[in-house]
Amino acid sequence: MFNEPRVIFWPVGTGDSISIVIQDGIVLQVDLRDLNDADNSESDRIALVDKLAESLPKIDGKPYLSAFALTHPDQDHILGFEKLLERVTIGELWFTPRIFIENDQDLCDDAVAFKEEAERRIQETIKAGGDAGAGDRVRVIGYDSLLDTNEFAGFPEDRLTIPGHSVTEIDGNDYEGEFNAFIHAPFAEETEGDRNNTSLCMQVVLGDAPSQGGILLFGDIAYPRIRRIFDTTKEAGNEDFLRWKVFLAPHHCSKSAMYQKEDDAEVLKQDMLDDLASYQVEGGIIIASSVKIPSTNSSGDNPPHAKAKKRYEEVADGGFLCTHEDGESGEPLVFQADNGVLAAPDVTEAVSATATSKLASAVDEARGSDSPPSEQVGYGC
Amino acid sequence: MVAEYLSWGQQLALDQLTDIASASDDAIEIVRTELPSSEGGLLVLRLSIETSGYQFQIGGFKFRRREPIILKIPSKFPLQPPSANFGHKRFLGRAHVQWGNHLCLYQATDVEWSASDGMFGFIKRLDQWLRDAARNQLDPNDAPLHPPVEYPSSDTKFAVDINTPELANGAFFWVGAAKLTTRNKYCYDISEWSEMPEQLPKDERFAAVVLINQPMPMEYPSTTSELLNVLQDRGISFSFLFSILKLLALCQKDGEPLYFILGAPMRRRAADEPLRQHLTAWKMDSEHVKALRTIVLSDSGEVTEEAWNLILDWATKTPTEWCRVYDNRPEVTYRRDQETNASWFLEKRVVLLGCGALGSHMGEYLVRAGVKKLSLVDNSTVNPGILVRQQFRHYQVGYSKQSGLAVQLGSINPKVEIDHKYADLTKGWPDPLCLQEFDLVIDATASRRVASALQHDWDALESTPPILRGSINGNATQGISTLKMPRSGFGPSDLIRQTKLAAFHTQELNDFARAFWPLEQHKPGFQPEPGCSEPTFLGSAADVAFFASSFFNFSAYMLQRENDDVAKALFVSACNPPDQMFSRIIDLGKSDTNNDVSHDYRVLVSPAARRAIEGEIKTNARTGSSTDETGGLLLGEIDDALKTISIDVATGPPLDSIKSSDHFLCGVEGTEEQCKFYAEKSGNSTNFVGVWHTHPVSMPEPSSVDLEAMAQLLHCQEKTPRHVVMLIVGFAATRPLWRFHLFRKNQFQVIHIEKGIASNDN
Repeated sequence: MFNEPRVIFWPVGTGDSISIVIQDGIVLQVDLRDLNDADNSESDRIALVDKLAESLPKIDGKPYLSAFALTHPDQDHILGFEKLLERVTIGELWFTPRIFIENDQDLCDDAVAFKEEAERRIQETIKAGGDAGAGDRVRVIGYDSLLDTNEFAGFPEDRLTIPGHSVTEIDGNDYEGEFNAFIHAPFAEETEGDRNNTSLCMQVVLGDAPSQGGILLFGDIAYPRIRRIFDTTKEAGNEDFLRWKVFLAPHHCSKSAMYQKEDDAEVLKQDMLDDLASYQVEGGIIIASSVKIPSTNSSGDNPPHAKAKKRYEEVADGGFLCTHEDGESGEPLVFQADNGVLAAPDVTEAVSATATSKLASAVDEARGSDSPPSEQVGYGC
Repeated sequence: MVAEYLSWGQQLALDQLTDIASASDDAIEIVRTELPSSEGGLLVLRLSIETSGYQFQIGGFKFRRREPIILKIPSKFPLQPPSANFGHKRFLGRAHVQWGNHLCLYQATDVEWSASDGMFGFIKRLDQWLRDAARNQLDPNDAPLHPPVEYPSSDTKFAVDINTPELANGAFFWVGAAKLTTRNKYCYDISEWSEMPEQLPKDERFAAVVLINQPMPMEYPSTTSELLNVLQDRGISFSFLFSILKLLALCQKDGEPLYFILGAPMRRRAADEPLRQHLTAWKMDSEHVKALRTIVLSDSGEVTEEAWNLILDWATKTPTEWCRVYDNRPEVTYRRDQETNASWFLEKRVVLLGCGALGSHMGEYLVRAGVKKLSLVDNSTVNPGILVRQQFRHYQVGYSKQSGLAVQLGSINPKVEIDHKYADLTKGWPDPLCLQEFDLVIDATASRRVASALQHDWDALESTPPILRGSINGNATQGISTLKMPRSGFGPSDLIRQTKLAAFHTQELNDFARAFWPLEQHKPGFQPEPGCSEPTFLGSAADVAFFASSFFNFSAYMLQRENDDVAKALFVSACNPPDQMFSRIIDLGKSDTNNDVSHDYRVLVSPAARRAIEGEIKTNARTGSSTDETGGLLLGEIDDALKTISIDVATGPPLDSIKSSDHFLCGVEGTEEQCKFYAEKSGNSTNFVGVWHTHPVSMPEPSSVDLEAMAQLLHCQEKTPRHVVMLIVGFAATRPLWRFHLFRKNQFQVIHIEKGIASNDN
């Protein structure tokens, strides 16, 4: 499972869990959603902590995960972390300092566990004055101003990555040429506020050429931040870091990525779709990490949203995949990396070319029939 | 949503589309609705269409799972159809997609768009287009190719009627010059292709030509630099192109632009045909042409930096100026009249006798049908009155008709070799014209005198080209046209007579018989200029056009299908309420031509007359003795002018006849009534002309008894004829041999013998 470069999108219900294998045994886990009922054999959701514990390489007899990156501390991105921490040694933690401004009561237990582990590692790192070593390492995604705060006094600069820059190091080793994570967000002035909007957003490339397209992981951000990422990156001349072969639909295929309320009306932001389409490399695939997407939604429904799926289907050359609809039930969607080029999983839906298309049938139905009544109809006074 | 400016038609479109979307199981979704922002504005709908049902095949459009489609619905919907665009430009350059995103859904909107079916039909068409696009069937192999598009920005236009030169095997391109002739102030004709000479004559206009062996993009470059790059990719380097432009610039006059004809193999007319050149014309404006000339002359040191700067600007900054090309090349187009009756006339040589009402209209049909050569013959002039219905112009009053018509027809199709001759056709065939050079003679004079004159001149010919005649009745409600094929044996005048008999003998044609051959002239013919002009018919240009086109199509139909020994007549009446239109084609039969031995008259025997004589000979043999003579009367007409005897009817022996082995006494019982009957039935064309009898076992030569009978008929009857035909069927019992003898009254001298003195009574 973790012996070749690949990206794995796990079926964990509506939430994110992505394993990025850089090379044999070197794994960056982005977010986690491990559901209590996932070990039920009827479930199509994977018991991910079990799976990781079983599949990760073992060091000193304990499964070893090179790094864990948290986009934001919501339950659908961190569920099961406490269990993971117990069963697996995590070489390095990536996170944004957003977690430290939360009150514990506002966080789920696993987020609290993450926060405590992060705080511990911060202290260890400050104490070490640099890399604190495997099991204590951290990479904080944030801005210089962070180092002026009391909590981070003495925190070494090289463990801080400022958005707009790339990371090629994982767990103390540099994988330049094999791995590049370009950090798009959070933005400096948005490190507070709604958690979704402060998500860690990045392009991950398994190779040395971002222009060949990577994986865009935008957490749970909505249209305004996506717009800003596109604009900022274009302005900075970093457009290669927007190119994608795989785009993880933000917020589990939420329509908030391309629709916005304006004067009480829900307005489609076609500009976002156009930009998204323009940075797609050949055969791009959009993934919804969510339960099966309904054909329609009611107002106020949580993601996934049918409208968002349809809009993404208009963008992705290689198609739209859902972790709970495509591929084998209970199995992840796996993108193999070959010389830095990601290959789509073989789950393409067969085209059902029929003599009469749905569109033609719909026209016939809407047009109505000109046949006389087929059953008796009574009239009278 | 404010619907202030939404028209009822746009509301209908919205309702229909909403119904379709509701029934589509998400195959079509109305994503966004933009209402018109002003009166008469567009209703814009952003749709999303599921494409999973469209099977992709190599070369087809690779659709995403859903495709955004923008519909623009005009305020006049459903009278005007909507348009559909993709919501992106991914298919830029593909056939049937214009401006990068516009779907070409209809080839002929006027025909294919159904207002009553509205959005239902539109979405079905869209569905079919997407299906065909996915499987690469928008241009199936068995269909014509959609030509590429260039968006003309110049007012100059070109017309091309001649095929392009072929590229040599393996050649990347053909380079040369196109001779331009001015059609009018907007349009040039490409009249000739020529290899690139070292020098071009300055008194003629030429365009540069490059025909390449690779297709251009479906949408032609919009800038010069882009075009230069595209040509470079196709093997035309800038330096090579520049050298062609320089050469051509030298022969352009000051202040005139240079045109560049570019061809690429992107046209196909039908299945399995090889790809042909698609022609476009690119304009280089006069300022840059002048700069080019200056640069050429730089060899003598006069080049200026300014000229080079201008050319550099041209190459890098200017938009391409495309001119519209009206392509009429046979290799890429079909004639609009192909497979119609008129197609027979293509490349034929025709002589048109008479350039009046029928002639001037038929002349137009002939040149439009593409005859190769047309000779016009007439001897009258254009007067103001005929402009009512003849194809002449106000300014042509006073012209001779044949020359005036030649001008008119030449302006329609200058490729036709048109000559004209002043000649009085009542005097016969105009000598300088060689009859055998024509594929068809059209006699549009409607003159019996002309028919007689022509028949007289052509009497000795074994065959003539097919001859079409036509005439219109006095009030232009009925027309008759005849066509005789080369070996029908009838002459022009014979045809008139045959047509008359057909009209009188066929009940449904009796109206025509009365109109064209009235037994009595009830009133004088119409004289438009009373006292000054010849009588003519009363009718409009539209009336004449109806009959001219009917006759034209009749002849073309017959010429394409009939054997060369046939003669037929068309009887046609126009729509003249409450009467309905009528038309009937009658076979005029084949001539059974014999010769009279005594005066060399031509004798035409009708099949009915021949059958009657042969029948009587057989009956005679069966009921009496085969060696008994028999006979009867011959009815028809003798035309001394044309030296023609027409035998329409042969009777059997009158009841009071007496037969024996050496004598046939022809009775008279009932013959007067019989002759009267046939005369009336034929419009007085079938009258007593002679007798027939048999010589059962001897030669068909008149015996002394026969001669005595002739003398008796010509001199001793109560009403004696001027001449009498005697047919003798010799050896009637064994091998019947027919021989006609014409006896004239003046061949016999009656000598009165009185008191021993003979006197001549002649």
